[in-house]
Formats: sequence, C-alpha cells, structure tokens
Amino acid sequence: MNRLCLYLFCAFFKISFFTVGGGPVMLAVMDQEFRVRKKLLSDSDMNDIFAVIYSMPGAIGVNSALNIGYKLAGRKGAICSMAGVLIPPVAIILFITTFVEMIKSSPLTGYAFVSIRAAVSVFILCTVGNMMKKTFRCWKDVVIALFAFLAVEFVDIPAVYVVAFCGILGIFLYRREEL
Amino acid sequence: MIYLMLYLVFAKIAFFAFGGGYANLPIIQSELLSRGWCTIEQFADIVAIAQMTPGPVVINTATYVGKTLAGVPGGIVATLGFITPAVVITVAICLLSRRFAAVPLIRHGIRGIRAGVAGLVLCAVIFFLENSVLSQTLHLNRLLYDFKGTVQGWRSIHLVGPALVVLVMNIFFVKKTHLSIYICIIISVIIGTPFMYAFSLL
Repeated sequence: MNRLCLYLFCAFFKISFFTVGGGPVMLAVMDQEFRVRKKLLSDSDMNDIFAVIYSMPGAIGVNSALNIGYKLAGRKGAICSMAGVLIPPVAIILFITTFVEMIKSSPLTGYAFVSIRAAVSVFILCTVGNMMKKTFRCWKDVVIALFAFLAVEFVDIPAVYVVAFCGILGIFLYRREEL
Repeated sequence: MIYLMLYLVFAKIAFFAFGGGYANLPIIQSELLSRGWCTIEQFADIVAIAQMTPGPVVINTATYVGKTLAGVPGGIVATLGFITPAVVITVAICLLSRRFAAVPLIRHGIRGIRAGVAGLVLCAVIFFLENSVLSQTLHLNRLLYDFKGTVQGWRSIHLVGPALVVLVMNIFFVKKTHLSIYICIIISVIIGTPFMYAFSLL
C-alpha cells in the first residue's frame, strides 16, 4: 500500500515535471505511464477517468491525479498523487519569477517550445486514437464525439455546456441499450 | 487579508473552470483585470510563462499571480484555492459513485460524455498544431459568419518546416519505437531548437 503511494507520488511528480503545455499533454503521458507501461488501468478504466475529469471543474492535471490516485490506492493515493502533481509547478513558478525577463526575451526558448508543441500534438493524437478505438462501438458514439468537436472548434461553445449536452445526448440516444 | 482574498477568488475561478487549461484563461483574465490585480499586458506575460513551465497551465497561472501579489505564501494560497473545488467534488463523486453507478440514466450519460471527451481532446491536438507546425491559427470558429475573410486569411498560412520535421520524427518514434514520451520530448528539443534557429537565419 505504502509502496504504491510512493510510486504514485514519484510517477505524478515526474509527469508534472516533464510535461510542458498543461492538461491534454498530461493525459497523453498518464495514458502511456499507467495503461501502456505499467498496466495498472484498463482501457475502460482510463476512458471512465477521462470522462469524469472533463465533467469536473479545475485543472485537468490535478483532477486526473486525484482520480487515478483514488482509483489505485484510495484516499492516501489521491493525496500522494496530488502532492506529486502540484510540487514541481509551484516550486518552479515561485523560483522562476526572478528570471522572467531572461526567459521571455531569448528566441531560443521560443524555438524549444515550438519543438515541444510539435512533438506533443503527436502524443495527444495517439491518446485520442486509442480513446476512439475503445469508446466508438456504434454510430451514436461517433455522432456525439463529432458534435463535441464541432461545437468547441467551430462555434466556440464553452466546454462545460458541451460536456453537459453530451451527457444528455447519451441519456437520449442510448436509452434502449443494455450497457 | 490579501491571502484570504486570493484563496477565495481562485477557488471561485476554479469552480467555474470546466474543460481545462486554455478554455479557462478568459475567466481568469476577466476576474484578475476587474480587480486590478494585473494589467492585460502582465496577464499575457503570465500566460506565456505558465505555458512554458511544466505542470498544468492554470496552476502555474494561479501560483504566478499569487506570488506577484503577495509573495511566496500568496502563491501557495492561490494554488490551494484553485484545487479546493476539484478536491471537494472528487470526494463527493467517490462517495456517491458506488450508489449511482448502477442507475441506467447515469451510465448512459457517462457513456455520452466518454464519447464527447474524445472530440474535446481532438480540439487540443488542433491547438498544439496551430501553435507549432502552422504559422498562425486557423480561426475555425470564424468560419461560420466570416467565411470569405477566413478563406483569404488561410492563404497567408504556411507550414513551419523545422516544426514539421520534429512532428514527422515523433510520428516515427511513436509508430516504430517504444521510447517513453520524456525521451521523445528531450530529443525533439535537442534537434528542433538549433534547426529552427538555423532556419530563422536563412
């Protein structure tokens, strides 16, 4: 139990420390760490966790740490994971405010971050691909995903309404199905 | 007293911050500007730094604003405020989920959200592509009422060569090797940065 908590703390510390770009990037890294490499979570566990994270307010990184930690090791796990995810960014920001001008003015940091974003788009695309493979079981799933994508990308509807409407669509479309 | 204000304001922001990261920056912006806690230029700087540093972007923003307003304790208090709603809601979900998971209505709703989230995460892919491989954002949201202008705007969009090389390299890593994401990111920075610098000198 305690070894699992220590592992969770270290894993989330590492994830938080190495992922520049925020929530979606962390989802891709967590997917690789907990599902692909360590096989602690199944595909359907992971997709349920993603659904819960997106229906909750707050930072995606923190919400996923809380949920994955709780799923794997209960209350202690949630606390350890959250501490792991919070310590690197808070420490770095508190430290970095002194050097802000230096970082901002150097074109090299800009190039480095363009490289990171190019790399990261591939990882997130892989995560999406896997999510689609596992959640799309009939045309209704595809319709809901397409709706969510179009609503956010083309019409700029805030994510909270999109998530709520996807839930309502789900209740309406799947009502005759056995799950 | 400033600590209590920081805590409450960031807890309030977090409570309305759905969909993660970039979707929430406008809420944070209006809340901070209306209180005179920072100017629009300062906010742009804060967001730039928050995106460059590791960790969730909104957590970085909260820590940064807290630190500039009230020193190190301020940064910590603002961050704690931001995570409070998530902690409370997670505890509530975990306590209730066993009882509700069997209700068909809830299960159908969750299945709908699961499918929808795939679409939402796809939007994040476009965001990262727009900010790396493409020279400017696509403004897809303007497509509906501003069709002509957007299409003309699209002519000025070109692909950024070095970023495209990094992208293709990572597709190769993901498809053909089993490198961890950390190693891929480090290799991308080592190869991409000098490449882009050389490209900018041409």
